[in-house]
Amino acid sequence: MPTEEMGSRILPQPPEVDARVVLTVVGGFLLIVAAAVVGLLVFLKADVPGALAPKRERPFPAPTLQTTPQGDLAKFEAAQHEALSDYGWIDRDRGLAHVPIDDAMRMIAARGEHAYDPLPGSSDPPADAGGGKR
Amino acid sequence: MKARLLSSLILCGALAGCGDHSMFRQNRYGTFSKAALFKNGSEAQPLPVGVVAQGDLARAEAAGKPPPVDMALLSRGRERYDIYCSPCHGYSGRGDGMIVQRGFPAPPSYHSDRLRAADAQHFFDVITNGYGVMYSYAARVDVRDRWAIAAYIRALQQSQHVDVADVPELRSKLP
Repeated sequence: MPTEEMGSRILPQPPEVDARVVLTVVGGFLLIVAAAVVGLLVFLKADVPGALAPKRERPFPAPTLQTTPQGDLAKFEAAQHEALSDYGWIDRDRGLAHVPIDDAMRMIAARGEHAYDPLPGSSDPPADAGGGKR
Repeated sequence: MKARLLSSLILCGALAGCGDHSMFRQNRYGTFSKAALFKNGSEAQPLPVGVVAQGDLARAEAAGKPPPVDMALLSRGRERYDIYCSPCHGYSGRGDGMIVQRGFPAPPSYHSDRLRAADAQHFFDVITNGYGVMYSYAARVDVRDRWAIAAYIRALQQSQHVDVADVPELRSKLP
């Protein structure tokens, strides 16, 4: 019957291990790590400009989510309808104006059989004349 | 006696409910299944030569004959345009609709030189067949409505480009 008590079991490491060897290994490891860190810092300082400088915060783009889509649509539609509901000059020098869409519809209806015919001129800036992506 | 008769009737009703009456099994061919009834042995049969869908001939005729433009047609075109076109093209036709605001590729403005010079058939064809990232609206917009939209596009172009010399009475309304 064994009389061994807790705490007096055989340890995995025999007591005769030379502590100097352990200290040498640990010390060598720490030296290698320190040398690697120092070497990295020297490399970064010499060859990577700005690597050790503190990073400046970059502004994060605002999310393009709509918090009130119904409100956005109502505002958008109001602005678009406004452009089709009043009189105004486009180019006073050239005598070009914009008119409410109801007036324009009457003008087109009054063209009779030529209602579908192309209209002369352009009210857009030249950059838009080529058309966009479709 | 009455109770026995009643229970018999309930039993008969319950028995009548037994079985699969869900119409799941029907006496018909499944899609793409073999079919001994036809010569080629397939359930999927090609259309006989010369067959057209109902209304196709009338639609083809209407496609080649633009209806006369009046205020009723233009109003119809405006209504259809606001429903189907404005989400991308914008209410004023500048290609800045709400869908474009949310990241969709912008269509060209109707007020560009190229589209002002385009004939109405071009707008009709684009609605019918699609163009670029725009898909066909043939299934959504009737033939006559496509012409109505084409006419309304002319009105949009007119509204943003009026030569005051042609409409002298306009001068008094301008700021």
